[in-house]
Amino acid sequence: MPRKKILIVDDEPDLVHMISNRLKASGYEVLSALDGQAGLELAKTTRPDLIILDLMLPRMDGYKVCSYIKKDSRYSKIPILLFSAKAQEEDIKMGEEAGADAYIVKPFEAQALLDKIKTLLAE
Amino acid sequence: MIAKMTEKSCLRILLIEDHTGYPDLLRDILAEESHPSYEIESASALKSGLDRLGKDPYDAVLLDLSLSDSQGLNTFSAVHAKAPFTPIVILTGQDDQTLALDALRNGAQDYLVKGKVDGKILASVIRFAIERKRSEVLLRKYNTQKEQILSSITSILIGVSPEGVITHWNPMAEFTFGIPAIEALNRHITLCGVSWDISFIMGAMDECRKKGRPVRLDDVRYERSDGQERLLGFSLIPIRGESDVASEFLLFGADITARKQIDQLKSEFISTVSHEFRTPLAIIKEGISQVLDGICGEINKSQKETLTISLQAIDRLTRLVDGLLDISRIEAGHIEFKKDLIDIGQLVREIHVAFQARARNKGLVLKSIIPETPVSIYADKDKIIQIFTNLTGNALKFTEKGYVEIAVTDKGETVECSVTDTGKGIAKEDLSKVFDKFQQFARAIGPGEKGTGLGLAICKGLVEAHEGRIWLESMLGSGTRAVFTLPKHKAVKIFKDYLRYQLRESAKKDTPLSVLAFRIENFDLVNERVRPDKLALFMDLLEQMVKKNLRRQADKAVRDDASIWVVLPATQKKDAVSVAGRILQILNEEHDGGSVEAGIKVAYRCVGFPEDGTAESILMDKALRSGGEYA
Repeated sequence: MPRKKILIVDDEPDLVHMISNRLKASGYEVLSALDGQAGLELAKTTRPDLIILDLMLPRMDGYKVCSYIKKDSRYSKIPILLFSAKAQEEDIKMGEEAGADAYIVKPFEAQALLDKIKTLLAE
Repeated sequence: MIAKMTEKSCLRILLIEDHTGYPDLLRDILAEESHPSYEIESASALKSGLDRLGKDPYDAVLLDLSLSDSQGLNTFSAVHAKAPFTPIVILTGQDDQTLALDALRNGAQDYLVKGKVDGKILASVIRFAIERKRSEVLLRKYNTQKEQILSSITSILIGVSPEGVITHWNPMAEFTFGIPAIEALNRHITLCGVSWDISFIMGAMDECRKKGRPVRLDDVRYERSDGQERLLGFSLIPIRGESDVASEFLLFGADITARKQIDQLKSEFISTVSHEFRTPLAIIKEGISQVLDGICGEINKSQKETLTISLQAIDRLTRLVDGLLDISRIEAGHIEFKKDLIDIGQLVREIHVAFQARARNKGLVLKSIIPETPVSIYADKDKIIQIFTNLTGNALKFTEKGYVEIAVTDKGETVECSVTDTGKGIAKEDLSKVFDKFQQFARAIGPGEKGTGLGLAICKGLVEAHEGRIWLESMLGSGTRAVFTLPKHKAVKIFKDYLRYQLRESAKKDTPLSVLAFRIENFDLVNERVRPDKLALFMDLLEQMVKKNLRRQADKAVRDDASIWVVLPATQKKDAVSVAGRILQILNEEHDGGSVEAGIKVAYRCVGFPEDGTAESILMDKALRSGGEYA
C-alpha cells in the first residue's frame, strides 16, 4: 500500500517541523506550506489524502482555503482537519460552516491527532 | 431633624416707628402678657433702626413702612437685608391689601394694621412669627444643603415625573449631554434633546413601575454633542411620595464608556495572550512528547522522569490559559449561554460514568443520588457539565479515603446540586475566599494534576449566569460539601432573555431578526377533552417539525405546554413566514395524527425586527400575544 500523503498548512515553521516529524514517524508522507495561498496551490497540484489546516494564516485565512477546496468538486473529497489556537465555539462553528471535517485545538495530544487522522483517512 | 426649641422667657422686640407715643402704647398693650414677657426697644427712623439691628440681636422686629427717611416696601427690604434671619412683622397705618401681599411674598411674617390689634393678638402674632421664621430658616438651610449635595454629585442625576416630564437635571447631566438644565427641565424625556436609546429607557421605566423597585440599565447608547457614540450605565429608582405608587423616577448613573473600553481592552488582552500562548505551547509539548515517545532516539529512565515532569507543567500551563480565557469571557459577559431543557438527573449519570474509573483507582466510592422523576430545567448543558466536572474533580483530588457523593434534589422553585466528599476539608476562615481567582487552600502534595486556582471562580461565574447560587460547607478534617442551586425558569423567561440578547446583537450588527410563535389556540378547551399525554405528544411532534425546519445553530426554539417560540436571527420576516407556512403544511399533510379530530387548533404569529418595532418591550408583547393566522 502506498504511503498516505498529508499536507500541513501552518505559518509556524517550528510547529510544521514538529508535526511532520511525528507524522513521518507514523509512516506518512508529509508536504507543507507556510501560508494560505501556497497551501491552496499545493493542495491542487499534489492532491494530498488529507490536509491539516491552520486558521490564522497569511495571504489567505484557513476558512477561505477550506471553503475553496470544499466547493471545488475535484478536491472536495479531501478531508480537512482544522488546526487552531482558537477554542471558542463560534470559531468551531465557522469552521464547520466552511466545510471542515474535524478540528483539533492547540496544544494537542499527539495520540488524539493521530487517531483523528486515521479516522478521516479510513472514511 | 428640626430640633425642638424651648421658648425664651423674655423676648426682645425692636419697634421701628416714627410716632413717638407708640412705643409706650405698645408696652402697655403687651404688659399683661407675662409668659413670655416683652422688652420693647424703639427706633424712630430707618437709619437708627438699622444701626440697632447691627449692634444687638432681636427676637423680632415690628416695622412701620412709612418712616421719615423711607417709605413703603423699600423700608421692609432694607430691614430684611440687614437682618435676614430675624422675623419682621409689619405694623402700619395703611390698610393696603396689595402692599400686604407684596410684603409677605418678600419675606415679611405678617401685616397688621394699627389700632385693629389688641395685646393678645399682637403677642401671638409675634410668637408665631418667631416660630415660623425659625422653621423657615432651618428649611432653607436644609434645602441649600440638599441642593449643594445634589449639584456636587459627580454622577448624572435626572428626575422624571410618572408622565415622563423632566423635573431635575443636575450639573453632571448638563456636562455629559451638553444640554443646560433650563432647556431640559419641564420637557418630556423623549424631547429633552439627548439622542439616546429612548425605547430602552422607556421600557425600563415600565418595568420599574410594575416592580416598584430599582431597575438597572446597562450599556445605554447615546450620542455625545461632539457626535461620538458613548455608553451610559444607569439605575432607575422609583421615588415613592405620599402614596404607594411611584411619584417620580430618578435616573442615576454615569458615562461608562471609559470603563467599558478598559474592560474590553483587558479581555481582548487576555484573549490575545492566551491565543498567542498556544502555538509555542504546542511546539514545546510536541517536542518533549516526541523525545519521550522515543521518536528522536532511545532515552534513559532519568531523562524520561525529568521530561515527564516538564510535560505535566506544560499541561498545567495549558489549563491556566484555558481558565484565563474562560474567566475573562465570563467577566466580560461574552459567553453566549445556550439554555435548553435538560434533565439534570441524566446529566449526573453521565458525570458519574466519566469519573468512576478515577475514583476506583484512588480507592474511593463514587455515589450519586438522583430523584426518580426527571428534573428538567432550562440550562446550558456544556456549562453545567463543566461545573460538575470541576467540583467532582476537586472532591476526588482532596479525598484520600471514604467517598464522593453527587446529589440532585428537587426543591420546588430550584434544583439543588451538590458534591460531598470525606476529604481534608477547608478551614472556616478560608471558606469565604475559595471563589476568588488564584486562591488555593488545599494544594495536593505529590504527583497528580496541579490546580490553576481558577476552577471555583469559573464555576461561580457559570452558576451566576444561570441566576443560581453556589457555596461551600466544610469542616476541617471531615470533608467538604459544594452546593449550587439552579432556578427552574419558565420557558417564557428563557425565550424573553434569548430574544433580548439577539435583539441587541441584531441592533448592533444592523441585521433583521424574526420571531415565530406557534400556539395551540384552544389549549384550555382541548386540554379538558384530550388526554394530556396526547397533547404533549402533539407538542413533541410540532417541536420536531419546527426544529427540522431550522437551518442554523443560531436558530433557537423554546416551548412550554401550549406554545413554541422560535427566534431566527438574520432572517427577514417574509422568509420566517414562509418557514412557518411550510411547517404547518407538513404538519397538516403528513403528520396529522388525529389532531384534527381532537380539534387542536394551531396558530402562529410572526414578528419582525425592525419592521414591527425596535423596542424590546413592544416586540416582546407582540410575540407573546395570542391569536394569529390559523393553520
